[in-house]
Amino acid sequence: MRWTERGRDWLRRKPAQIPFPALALALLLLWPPQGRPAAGQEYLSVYTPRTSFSVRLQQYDGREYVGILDLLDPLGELSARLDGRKWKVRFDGMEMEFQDGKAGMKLGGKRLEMAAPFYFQAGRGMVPLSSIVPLLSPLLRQPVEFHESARRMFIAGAAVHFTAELVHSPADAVVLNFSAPVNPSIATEPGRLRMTFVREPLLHPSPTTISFDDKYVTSLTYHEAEGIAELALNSSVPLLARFSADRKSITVGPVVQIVAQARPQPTPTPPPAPASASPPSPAPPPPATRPTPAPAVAAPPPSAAPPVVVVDASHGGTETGATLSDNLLEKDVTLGIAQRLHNDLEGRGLPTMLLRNSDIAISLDQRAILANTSRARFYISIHAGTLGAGVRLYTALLPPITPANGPFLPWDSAQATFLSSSQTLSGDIASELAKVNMATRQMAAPLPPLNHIAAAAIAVEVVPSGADVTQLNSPAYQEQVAAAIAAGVARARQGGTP
Amino acid sequence: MIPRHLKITFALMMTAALATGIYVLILKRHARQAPQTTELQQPVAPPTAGPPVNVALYIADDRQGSLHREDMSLRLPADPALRAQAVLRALIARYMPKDSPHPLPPGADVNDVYMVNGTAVVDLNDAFATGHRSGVLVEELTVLSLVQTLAANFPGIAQVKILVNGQERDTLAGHADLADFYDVAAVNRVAGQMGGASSQ
Repeated sequence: MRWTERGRDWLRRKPAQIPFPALALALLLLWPPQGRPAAGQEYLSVYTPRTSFSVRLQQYDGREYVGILDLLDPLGELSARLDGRKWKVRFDGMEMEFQDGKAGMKLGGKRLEMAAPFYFQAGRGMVPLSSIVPLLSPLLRQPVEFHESARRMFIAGAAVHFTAELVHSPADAVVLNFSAPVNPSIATEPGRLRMTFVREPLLHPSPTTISFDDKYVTSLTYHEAEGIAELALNSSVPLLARFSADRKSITVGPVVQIVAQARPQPTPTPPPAPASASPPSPAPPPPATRPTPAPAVAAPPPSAAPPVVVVDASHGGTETGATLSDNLLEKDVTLGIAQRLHNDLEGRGLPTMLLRNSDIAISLDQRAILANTSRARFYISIHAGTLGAGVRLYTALLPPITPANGPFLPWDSAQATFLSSSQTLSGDIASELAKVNMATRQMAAPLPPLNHIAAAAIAVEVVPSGADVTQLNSPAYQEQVAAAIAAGVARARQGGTP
Repeated sequence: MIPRHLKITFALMMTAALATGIYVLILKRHARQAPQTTELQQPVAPPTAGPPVNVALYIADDRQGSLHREDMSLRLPADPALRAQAVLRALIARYMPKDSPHPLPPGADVNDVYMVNGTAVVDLNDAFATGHRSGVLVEELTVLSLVQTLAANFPGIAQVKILVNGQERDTLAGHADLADFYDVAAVNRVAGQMGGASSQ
């Protein structure tokens, strides 16, 4: 009891001698501050004439902040150091001076007041986003245009402009012409086709909505938010986008009309189909609802169908397929192989349509519609995987049904009529792959959209020959596989292996 | 002048507070990094009710790209739908160990099985589909294993429909078709090519 009384007495007389810093530190460790930084998931997109990049934003006290080093690093020479309580940043010969928790800062000796305090945390200096333009303009000595609500920043006049024009020839479509090459992600949904521009400094037209006097494509809407710009084309029918070779023009129109445009013109080189070949394909549409067998449309006259191979790079856009490794997606591998196969087939004089030539999302039903409306004789879907080794060739897994006679085919089993020629195609490609010592396996698989294809149809799953997954991305391996497939298609076209 | 024993006591208390603070921080970091274990990660156990029955499981093997039959004895309930669910759970339990020939995602399970007039509807849970590996062969093996196992143990089934969480879905994980019904005869033919034909 005696020491307690003495302690109380000491506390009464000498309260200032309690080691408060140590106590405060202990409390800080036990209860980390809740009000100060909370990690956000927002990004600022920055566009310059030379490059574009994104910087992650953070929320501090209800405001958006950006790391000043993250923002300036891609833009010029940068160095930073702590000088006592001051944080000094040097960018292209001009010095800035910040202090943790203070809104005032110095830029090239001039004092500036920011909208909110500067924060220095874990080696990162955070500046309020709303004060970034007055800071950057004198620093970069370039005009800075900032769309704060959309979190998009344009430096030194970086911009991609576009015009939209409704054309009626050779087909009804809207043609978008851009001032620079673009590579948007494209997604379709009922009544709308959306293009998302992440890297391109696409600027809005005036007005932001353009109406068209067209029965198919009714309007175009521009919208920007969260660091991206989006163009949406509204329509009463399914739309498809097609890029020009220089990627400065995108033609958007009804699926059937765009496919008709894309269909290769008959050339004198391809010989006529042999008598044993499968008949030209009717083009069944997808069912309105899945379980109900859908009515089909009448087949076009046989003479109207030129021989054509459809190469389908599976997946695309947000539908990435399998993640083959940390930085290798199935959709990218399939596109690479499909493009090579397209070139090899064209080189052999086989008119070929590549269903996906960029990173766009196409639904499974749309793929079948495109293949069927092109009246393809061969349909080849490209996949990639990591299980096993070599190349696997799949034909449709269909119940034992009697193939349809006459001009109509049911959507759900359109492939039944062509299953025999699909298996022949698979065998011919397997023979060519075996010639280059590739392990092959042929089997049936429940793999959409094979069942809906009205042509000889197979899916090819390309797998590395060994344990090295990166081989899938190797141009040599992709070309070896593509060349063997092309040889197999050419062989099937000549009548196939007896 | 502060007595020496008070100084020592205070220093000890501060040290303890600091150590506790650091320990709490470490615990918090561990808790943040630990995987979310809301789903059941252990193999599901077969039911224990009913007499022991011999069941056939068609086990997928990734390395061989094949199916093979394994027989096991299970105690099954009387209700056909519950029996089918129990058989499929026994199959899934076979895929749960780390050294399984065809690993399924943690928490994979069958919510329900409905059997009506020769059609079986299998309702998988969300963890089964969302965590499933993506690929033509790996997804096909899963589907064939489920369908073939059902068909082998319930001879009246002619077709199988697979749902995920009670909803229709286009594919299992980007490849295997879940939109259509699986014809048991067609599946048996393909399973035969993979070494797993059923005598049904």
